[in-house]
Amino acid sequence: MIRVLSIAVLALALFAQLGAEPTVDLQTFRETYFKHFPDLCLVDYANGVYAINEDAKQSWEAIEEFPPYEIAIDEGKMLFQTPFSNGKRYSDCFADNGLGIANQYPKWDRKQGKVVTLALAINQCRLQNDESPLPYKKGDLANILAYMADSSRGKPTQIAIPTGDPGGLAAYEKGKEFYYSRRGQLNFSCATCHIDNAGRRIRAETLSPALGHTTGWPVYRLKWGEVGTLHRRFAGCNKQARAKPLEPQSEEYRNLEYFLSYMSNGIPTNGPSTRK
Amino acid sequence: MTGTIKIRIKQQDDFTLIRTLISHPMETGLRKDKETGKVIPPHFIQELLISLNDKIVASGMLGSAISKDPYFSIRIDKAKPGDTVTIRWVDNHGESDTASVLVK
Amino acid sequence: MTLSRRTTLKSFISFFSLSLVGGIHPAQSAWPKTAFAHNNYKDALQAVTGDNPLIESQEIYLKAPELAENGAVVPVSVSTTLSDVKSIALVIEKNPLPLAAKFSFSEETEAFVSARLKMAESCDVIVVVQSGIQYFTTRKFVKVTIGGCGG
Repeated sequence: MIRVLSIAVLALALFAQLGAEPTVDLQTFRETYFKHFPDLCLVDYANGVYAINEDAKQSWEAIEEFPPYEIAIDEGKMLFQTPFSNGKRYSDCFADNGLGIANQYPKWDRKQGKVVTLALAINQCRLQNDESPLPYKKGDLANILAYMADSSRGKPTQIAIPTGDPGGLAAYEKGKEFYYSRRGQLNFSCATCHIDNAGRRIRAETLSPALGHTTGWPVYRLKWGEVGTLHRRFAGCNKQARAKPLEPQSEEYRNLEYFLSYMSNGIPTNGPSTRK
Repeated sequence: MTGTIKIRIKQQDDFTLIRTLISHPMETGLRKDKETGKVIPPHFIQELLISLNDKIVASGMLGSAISKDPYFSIRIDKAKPGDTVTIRWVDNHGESDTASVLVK
Repeated sequence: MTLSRRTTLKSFISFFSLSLVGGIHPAQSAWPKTAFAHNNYKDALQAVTGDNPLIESQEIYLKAPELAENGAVVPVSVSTTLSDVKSIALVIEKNPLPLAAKFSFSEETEAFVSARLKMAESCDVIVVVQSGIQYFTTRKFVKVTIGGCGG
């Protein structure tokens, strides 16, 4: 009985914390990093680990001089501009013809009752136009994302959690819970590495801060030798922490992206970008 | 292969900077396909030629240790507006591509 | 391989109506298969220098990272104050095929080149600069890690 009670108390405390206003979360999130890295300002976080590791930054800058993702942007532009078999186009599915809007994704879709990421929106556009969906980790979809992201380059991340519909807030809270929950053999949460130990090393790797994590996607990872998506990275990272990788665009990853993107509100988007 | 070469020209005070990004697998021939277990045959650019108007100003003999989607950068004496920079590559399959840009 | 060389020569001659530049002309542009096939870096170096001695030089500036972000793409750049530079070669000490590239320049081109290299493991990136009839060298150790989560 006592055991049940104490678990209930803990759960209540956790729930109370989870129920905190997202705006408060955002403030706390930022302050944690500002305290930890006093020399960085908010926009510096758009560059991830390169804001905190000078040698890596020089190497990265040498590559950014003429980055390999430019090939993907060109490919993505061609794909984006090619009409579907029915004559309609991607631009018909999005506001502003699909350009300069990537910084507003993911969105809470009230009608569908789910978080819609840009990747999901692209495939929904395809399905609406009798085209088959594209795989979510790499290839054509990643290239289209590269083009759309590039058209938004420099625009601040602008994620909204609409009031008046509890669904959006609930999805945000689920994403947040996922972020802070330990999982897998190593019993790490995302926060373990990217909040508690940001800037520290895990073997030879410098851990990047979570603040700004979503701004540069899709990413040309040197490891992949191509442009890949955020959910590909989520799955890869989960796997490397010896936790179960989930499917790209699964509900958990979409909610996670929603939470993480909100935490980067105000930081300029700079996708696609290069990472190791 | 066509359309694989991107060229960027930047005029500096004392020189013209020529940078290029080329879309090419640069396969070493030392890797194995994860699924089939078979060696992926070599496929890489062997020769690179950079010309200003009709004159070769730089050439590269390349091995497969050059990264995928190779990048190269050289500096030449100040080019004039209207000059043409041409970049050409030939790979071990005998495939090639060429691209040119006008110096502004 | 023979067909490729023929095609290569043909394409060079037909495409470029060349004014022969000192040291660069079609007959010399056949790809040096043997040099690139060496699996020992010393043999690769010798393929570049021939029987000439390799002289250590402080006048070659080799920029490369201390720790490579990823061994697949290591950005390096070479510049030098040596005079009359004919070529710059890059040799990666512990690569299975150490000779990575040899760049040749006309008089109009500065002694500078930047490229992205594959490195199999931590080792020296070695530069050989041909200045006049002499060969100069410098090297820089670059750490390469395999695997890792990416941070």
